[in-house]
Amino acid sequence: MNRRDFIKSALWGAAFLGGGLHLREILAAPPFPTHEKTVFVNLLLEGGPDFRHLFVPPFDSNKQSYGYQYWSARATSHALELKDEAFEKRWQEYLRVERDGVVFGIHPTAAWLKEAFEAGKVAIVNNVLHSNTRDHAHSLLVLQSGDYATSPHEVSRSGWGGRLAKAAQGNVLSMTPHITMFCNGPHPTNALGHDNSVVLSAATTRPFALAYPDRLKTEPAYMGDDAVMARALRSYYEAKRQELDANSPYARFLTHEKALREFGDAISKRLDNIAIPEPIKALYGSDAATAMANKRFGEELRNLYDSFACADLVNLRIASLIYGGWDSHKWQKDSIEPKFKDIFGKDRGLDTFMRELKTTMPEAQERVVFAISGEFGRQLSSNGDRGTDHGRGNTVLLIGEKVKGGIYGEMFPQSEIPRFQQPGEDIEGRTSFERVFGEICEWIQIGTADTVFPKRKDSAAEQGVPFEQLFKK
Amino acid sequence: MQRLNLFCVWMIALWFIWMGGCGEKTDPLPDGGNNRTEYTISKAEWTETAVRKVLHTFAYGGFASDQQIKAWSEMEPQDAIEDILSAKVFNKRLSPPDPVDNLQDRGGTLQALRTFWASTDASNPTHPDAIKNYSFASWNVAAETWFSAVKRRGLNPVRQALGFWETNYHLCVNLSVGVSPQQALAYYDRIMDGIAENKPYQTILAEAALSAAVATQYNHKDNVFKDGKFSGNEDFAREFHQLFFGILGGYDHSYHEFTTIRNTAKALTDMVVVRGKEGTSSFWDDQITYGTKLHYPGGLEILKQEIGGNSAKEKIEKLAAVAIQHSESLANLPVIIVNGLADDNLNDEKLQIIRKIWADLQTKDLLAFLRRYAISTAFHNATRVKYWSSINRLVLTHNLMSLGNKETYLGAFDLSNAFYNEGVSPFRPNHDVFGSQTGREASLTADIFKRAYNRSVSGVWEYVRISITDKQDKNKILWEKDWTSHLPKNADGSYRVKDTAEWLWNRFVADGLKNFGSLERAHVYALLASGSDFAYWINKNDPLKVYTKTEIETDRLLIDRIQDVEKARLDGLSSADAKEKQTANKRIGLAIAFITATPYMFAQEGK
Repeated sequence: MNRRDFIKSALWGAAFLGGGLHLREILAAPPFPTHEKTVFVNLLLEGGPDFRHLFVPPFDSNKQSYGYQYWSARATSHALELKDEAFEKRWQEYLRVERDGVVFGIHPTAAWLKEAFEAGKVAIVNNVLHSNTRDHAHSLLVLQSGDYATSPHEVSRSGWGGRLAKAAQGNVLSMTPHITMFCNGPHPTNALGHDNSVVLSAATTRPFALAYPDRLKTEPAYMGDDAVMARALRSYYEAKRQELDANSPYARFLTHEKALREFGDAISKRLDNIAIPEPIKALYGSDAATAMANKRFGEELRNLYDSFACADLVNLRIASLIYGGWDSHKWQKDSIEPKFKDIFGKDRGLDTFMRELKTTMPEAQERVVFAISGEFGRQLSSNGDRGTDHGRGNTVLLIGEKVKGGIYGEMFPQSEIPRFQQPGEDIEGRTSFERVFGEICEWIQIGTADTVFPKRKDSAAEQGVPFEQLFKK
Repeated sequence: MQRLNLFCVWMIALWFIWMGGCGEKTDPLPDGGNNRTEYTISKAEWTETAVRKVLHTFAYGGFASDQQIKAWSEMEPQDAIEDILSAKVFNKRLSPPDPVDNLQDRGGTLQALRTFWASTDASNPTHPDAIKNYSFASWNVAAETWFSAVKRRGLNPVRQALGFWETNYHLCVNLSVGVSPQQALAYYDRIMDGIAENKPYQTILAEAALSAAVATQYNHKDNVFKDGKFSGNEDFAREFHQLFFGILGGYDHSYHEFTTIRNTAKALTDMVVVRGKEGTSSFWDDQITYGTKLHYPGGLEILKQEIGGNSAKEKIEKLAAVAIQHSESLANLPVIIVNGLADDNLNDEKLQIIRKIWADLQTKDLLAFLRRYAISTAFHNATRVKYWSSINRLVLTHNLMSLGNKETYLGAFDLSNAFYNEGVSPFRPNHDVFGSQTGREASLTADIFKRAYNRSVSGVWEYVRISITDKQDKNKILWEKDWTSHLPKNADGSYRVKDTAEWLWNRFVADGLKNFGSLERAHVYALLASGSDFAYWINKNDPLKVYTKTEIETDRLLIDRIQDVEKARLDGLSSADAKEKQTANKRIGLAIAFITATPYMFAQEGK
């Protein structure tokens, strides 16, 4: 018996038994929906995150070893003196993890991530090729479209999130201030265009609806200025929808109005009865001990929570989040470590979100998977400005109850050792992102991977890595 | 009292006469013969609507009178565009001075204006409580200065539109990552002075690249070449080519990555920016010096050319001259400019025109390019679509709503808060060096649409505000809205619903009434004539009824009502009764709130 059935049967039982108090208690239960469908959340770390700062190899005094070469090449981005003792000390600050014979450290601010990894809920997929250029704008288009062939000027293409939502017959909800290409749905006839009928903007869930004065609900002829405008615009848009050509450049605004009108009231009604959990509220508050450095990301997590609370209303299958500011050319340590803490720290972003989701909507928490990636990675060695410059390959993280945790792909490739001292060298992209993201598609809806990523079967894959095992069956 | 009023009227009349004469004497009509190209539209296509589309795109609508717009439309397009698109601090025909602040006497750069608005000068109309916003101690001083500049008559709105695009998109700097407001304002002024002086674009880009603001933004102020080794980052070395010039490396990716970018980083060495101090707070100063001691000695191979020079300044100036002629820049830079400012729907035909206009310019002068483009078949093209960013739309709305500087000083329409509500902020771009929110992003995001729509419903009070009274003395009226100074009169001297509605639509939407269909007219007419929505006006017992276009065009009762009302007089506007006058002006506010929430206020088509 699922939650909804339980409440229904309890209501009937209470009604028959005439148990007034019992009935009130049941009615007071938060009206969360049941969650039977899987949901994929894409978290884009815009700017190119340095996952080699999040995950580090153990220091090794053998100068030919990876563990020595890494620390000496990365000394400035860790703000270290060029001394073995400094490397050793810094390594000791990291949270030591061992898995299948691989020892590595997770940054101390990311304590929740360590716990989740050790609980088998985190897949670290290494050596993923993000783009063949090191250009932010182009690489973002490539990543979000899910096609390495996307040119720098093809800004209107569909995104792989939108294509997956369409294939899975669901919607993609964007928690971000503006819709990104990832969300764009496929256009029925134009391969370089998009159709966003599968996209909903959830940048502000409270309030979600278009403004409509309360008084109009009981007094339709109310003549306040706001009431006059609310009636005039509602009427105008409804009539306009019947006449405007779908190919008009203005049609998208009618689509927005329709979506906000159709979903708005139901969402507002639902959310009126659901309080934002205090720990989530604290993430974007100003004075809580757990307040995040990036308040906007806290609000995105609030929007995500609300989207799960309305998942049945909005047919939630895909969600899109952004955390920006990862382009760490200078003062990398100061710049990205607070961000690690925001996302992966104890009582911070993902920890709080997952805990609250589990408390209120446990079926949803069991069925959600996050993918975390940037448009590219960084170079093997730090630069002369205590930062790192652009590189092509990077790591992708998958997190969730249904993820088969572990390390996928060589964590610290030995082939990098001689390249540490060469300027401009980066992580070799051995695996196409299509291989990784394609598995997400299959998990969301069997048979969708080749629709979303038509070139997946012929794309590169690191030898011996069981990508098909990324999810628990 | 009556005598005093008469005196005021005479003084204002004299001032207008003086301004008109002054404009003719000091600002002769231009000869824009050089702006003509094989793509220039015909005189017949250069209509008032065409002029308005240029003003909406490049001047946030501008502050020109209807008579001036008509006069421009009657000129040859190449001459008119010379007059409209300038980057000087003042352009009297586009933005006539206002006696409220006489900004024509204030220098007109952002730095000079900030100083004026921050001063206790008796002639500064800024509210005493707001003066602190222009102090460098205020975190938002750069944004507040720009907000004030962009909304004031007397200052050139083209300069502010181009200045905003250059410093918040193309050559972006971000106060949130350490650039100081002192640097940002100076950077803005320097770029716009260069454009106004018709400096070659590569010179302006080199000056921007060599500025303290950009050196702080990307931190190459710390790049050095010491003991035979480069130390620093290659962030701006990449973006100099990509963002500034449009060179992505397609000519040879590996060479671009390992030779061009790495050597450009070496060229950007020994650029010293120091900390300045004001009171107790310090900031990165706008001054920058180009040293030789820690600079890479000798020449560097960049873009397959030898770039010599003894300092960053010498090398970057030489490199800019090479970059502007690079095949990728020739192909991409004009597209970056047009895409950023005017067209989100470029196709092969328009790309070819844009690139040809750019290529044909012997000296790559931004204004010359924009003038030629703004009167070309690429701009006045049925396929052109420019989705307004929140910034474009909000400033357009504000500037077309305001009738004089007095109401802007009193904050009748709060631009700063409107920006905040839609998640945009000048000099704190959403995408760091990749710029602020784009029109495309805004158009795809229902949340931004919602915020704009809601502004016309729950925020309608700002549209219908018709007076502001003194905070201490509520009976003392500081300002009253009076649209009669701008609205067209009928031959009999009256104001009519249809004329007023069409005038408002054209003012805000600028489409020559193309999209002002029967549905739009029905709603705007009802608001103007009655202050109520159409459904209520038709039948107050059924106010939620939705009337379709077909019903409006075929139902005899509705047709008759609409035909009657469009001829109706808006006598309240010229009434001696203060209450009637206020009501009539308020209804215009309602009509504007409606128009600005229709889909047509979110984008502009080329034709």
